[in-house]
Amino acid sequence: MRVKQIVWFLVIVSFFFLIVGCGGGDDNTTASNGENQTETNDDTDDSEDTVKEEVEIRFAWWGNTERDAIYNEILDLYEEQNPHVTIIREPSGWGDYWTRLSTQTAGGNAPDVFGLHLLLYGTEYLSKDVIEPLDPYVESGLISLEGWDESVIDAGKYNGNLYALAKGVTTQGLLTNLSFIESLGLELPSTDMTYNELMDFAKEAVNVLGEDEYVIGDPTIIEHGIETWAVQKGGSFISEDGTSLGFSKEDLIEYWTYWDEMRTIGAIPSAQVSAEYSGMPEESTHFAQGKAIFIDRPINRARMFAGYMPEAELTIARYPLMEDGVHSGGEQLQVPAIVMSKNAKHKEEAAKLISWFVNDLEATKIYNAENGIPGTAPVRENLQGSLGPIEALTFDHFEKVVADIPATRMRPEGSVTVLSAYLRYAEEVAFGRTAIEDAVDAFFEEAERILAN
Amino acid sequence: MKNRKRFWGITKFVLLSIGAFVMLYPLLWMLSSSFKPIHLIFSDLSLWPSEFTLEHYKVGWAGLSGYTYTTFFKNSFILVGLSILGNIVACSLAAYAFARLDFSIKKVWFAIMLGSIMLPYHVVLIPQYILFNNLGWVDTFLPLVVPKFLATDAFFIFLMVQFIRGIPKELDNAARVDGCGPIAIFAKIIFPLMTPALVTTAIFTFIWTWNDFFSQFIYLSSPKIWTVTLALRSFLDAMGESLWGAMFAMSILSIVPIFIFFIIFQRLLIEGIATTGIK
Amino acid sequence: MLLKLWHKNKIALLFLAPWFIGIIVLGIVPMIASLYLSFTNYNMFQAPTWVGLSNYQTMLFSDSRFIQSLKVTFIYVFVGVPLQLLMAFTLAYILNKGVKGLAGFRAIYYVPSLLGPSIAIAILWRQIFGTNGVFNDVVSIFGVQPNSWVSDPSTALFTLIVLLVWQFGSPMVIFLAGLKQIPEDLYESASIDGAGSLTKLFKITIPMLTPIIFFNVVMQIIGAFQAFTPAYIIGGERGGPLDSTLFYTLYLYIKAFTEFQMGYASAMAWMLLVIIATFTGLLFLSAKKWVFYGE
Repeated sequence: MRVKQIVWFLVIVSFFFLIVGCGGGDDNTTASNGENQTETNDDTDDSEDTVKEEVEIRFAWWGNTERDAIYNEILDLYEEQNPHVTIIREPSGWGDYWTRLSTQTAGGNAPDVFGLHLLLYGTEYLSKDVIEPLDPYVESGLISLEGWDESVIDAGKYNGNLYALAKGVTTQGLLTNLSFIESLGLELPSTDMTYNELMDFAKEAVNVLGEDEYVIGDPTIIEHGIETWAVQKGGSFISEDGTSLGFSKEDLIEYWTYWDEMRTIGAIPSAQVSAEYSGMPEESTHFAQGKAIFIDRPINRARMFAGYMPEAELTIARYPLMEDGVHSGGEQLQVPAIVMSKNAKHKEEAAKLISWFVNDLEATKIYNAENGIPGTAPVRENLQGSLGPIEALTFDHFEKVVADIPATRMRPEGSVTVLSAYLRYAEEVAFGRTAIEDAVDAFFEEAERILAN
Repeated sequence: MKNRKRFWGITKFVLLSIGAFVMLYPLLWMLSSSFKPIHLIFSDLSLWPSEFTLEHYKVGWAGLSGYTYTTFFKNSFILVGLSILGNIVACSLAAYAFARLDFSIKKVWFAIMLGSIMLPYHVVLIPQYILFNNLGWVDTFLPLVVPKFLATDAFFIFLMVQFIRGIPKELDNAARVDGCGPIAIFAKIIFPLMTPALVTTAIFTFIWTWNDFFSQFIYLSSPKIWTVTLALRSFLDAMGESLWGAMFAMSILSIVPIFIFFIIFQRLLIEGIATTGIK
Repeated sequence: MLLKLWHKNKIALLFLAPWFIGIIVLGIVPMIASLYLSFTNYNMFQAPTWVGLSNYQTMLFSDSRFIQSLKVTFIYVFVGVPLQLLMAFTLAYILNKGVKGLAGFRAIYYVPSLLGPSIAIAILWRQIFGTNGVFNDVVSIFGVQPNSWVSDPSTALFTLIVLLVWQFGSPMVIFLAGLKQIPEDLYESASIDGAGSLTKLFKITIPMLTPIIFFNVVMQIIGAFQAFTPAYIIGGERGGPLDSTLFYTLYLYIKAFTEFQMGYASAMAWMLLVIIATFTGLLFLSAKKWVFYGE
């Protein structure tokens, strides 16, 4: 009988675990929302000489081995300066990071401090009560926002509360291969082209471009294209209340028609060529191979592309401007940010670490704008001296853009689903399977159904 | 007749060799990529690198977060060793019961066993994660190894059941006449006679555990307990720069142990039965 | 009564104890949890809310991607698995005896399966079947127009089927193990009766191998229905181009981990379980007619 008893015991125990585990998220809501943290803060603060409790902080980020080395150097430095803190590091690659993070979060075991890409996943986390608001720590002085750009602080806010601090900020731009332009006997009209100027330039360029050479990759099949267009038209991808699309059918028809013409004249690759390169490494893109004039990418990747094409002279141009638009520039801030889990065990210590990570001059010097441009002026100034030419270009470009664009809002909940529907219809149009008007109608219908839920 | 046979033999050999090239092509391609300087990996498609470098192996082996591939290989071996042991012991016990013993609602249990592998892993992940987290097992090998000792790989149970059913029942009966109980029959007759199935289990467990990315990734978060497969992924970053050369170099090295294991064990697969042979 | 039950089952329980714990704690309990979740809206971070059959209704009646994913998966399973098994059996049969240097060939033919569906393979596959790939060079000999096979929506799935067939090593090894288990004396006595090699193949080898054939068919079908990594890694995470490689489990994964609709994903999982169980059930029913056990 004993075996059976053990089995039953295990069943009951595991059911118990399941129930406890699932409820985990809710328990915290009540436990950690009070002001008790701010009170305890005062105790732990300025008592430098008393022996501090040993604490462990789990810190997760995405990136590759090279980024790991940078993070480890920074975190080692912190451990050195704060001997009572041990930082458990949980690095991972980009795609896998999100799967593990959501599993950990669902299981009530999220890392104490972790990276969050605000434009892509911000709302999915911030709206669900799993991230600790940082305002109390700012008030108590554990987190410093001195010298921070207002626009960057705002990018980390949700429903009026501050949740996230930028590790760096970037924005979409056109990385430009000047050497290639020159070899074609062309001239770049300016680094602030309008859509019309880009079209004229493209029409000229296709006459001299060789086979399998292009002006730019197809932006309709990545999300930033339509989002920028919608902002330029005075809207957004999804309306602020999250119940409808933030642009009109005419906007989308106009957008797709513009790029369809580019596709017809051969300025952008056919859908099939684009599909062949989707998911391939950046090293193999037409741009990196010297076979495209522009590539639209977050501008902080300029450094990376410069590494792939050491012989080429690169510059950064604005994402096309819309001269008759509500906003001529529509770029959104892309913010890889750092946040604290609601489940974090040592919240004051975690807050200190976060603040140090984004503000400390020594730490940010090691970091060296690795994940975008720092959102704080003192850090930027501190880096000025050590920047290479391409990075200096990135910094300048960023300052120009930030002064010219409307505030970035996080995409509302459900936008991931709508975006994936958008990309599907955009691909249908690109492949010529569906007429633009029909695709627009079908997309709007599907988007409205998704958003109604 | 003799000529025809020889012709047939040569044709077979030629065809097999062509096939072998198709099979080996990716390996050769990876090998050559691992020696190419980074700017040639995606532009030079030829199998023979025009420039050689050993840099990728040096950079690759250095690993990350202060742990070299020595650590990752060690971790992989521990994980794989325990998994093989677990699968062979636990699955053969269960398979014997399903194939030879009689118990209540056997068919229902068998159906449940197969049913458990029909549900996509992604939806049972979270309940399992919650369970392991509450046991305090996350970030250890336990969530990956303990299930093997609990015979959760229905694939192998079913495989062994099929093999045991192929062993003539007269052998059992003869042993029973000699006074053997079910335990002795299992230990003395069934277990040795199912060597091909056990070897197959060992080979597959080795390869699948070695290559299994998803569950290792979910449960092993600290680099100090990372396996080779996890470390390989860390060379790549879809949102930024990737160390392709190092990834190829270490991929080549990571194949070596599986390949050696396969070569040794497939001999067992072929020869093992000859020594135990069914008379 | 209980005592009788105990006496009947005690030996089996001894052998099954680890399995019982495993199947209940790691199998049945999570399964029940996911069944429950399939009737809820569950965004993974907040408590699930009951929605009854709504997930199942949406899935069956108003989700065109779901239907597409079913179509893709069925083609993959019912074209890919037979081809792969045929390949595996043929090579196991050839490599079982005869040609010199067989052990070497066996090892070489297993290499693709050692590699698994890794990222390196994904890159390679895109190069082989791309516009400038080797595949175009080969088929152009037969007068086939060059194409980018990976990015043409009508052929992208075909490249993944080729991958499945190419990685036939696992069923091949199982066939080899099965072939080794066939007693040699059966062939000897057949030879004495003057049977040719084809007769031996159809009268001895295949009938004796039916339990193993059956096993491979069942397991490969279950596996192919759940195929995820090839589509995720090689198909490029979204199932493109134009959803032509949107495998069932890939779509399920997208729903769960990209769109945070774990309730819907759970409903999809249970639907898949029903589909697989139906086909497996049919196979088991048919097994009585064609699978021969030595018992």
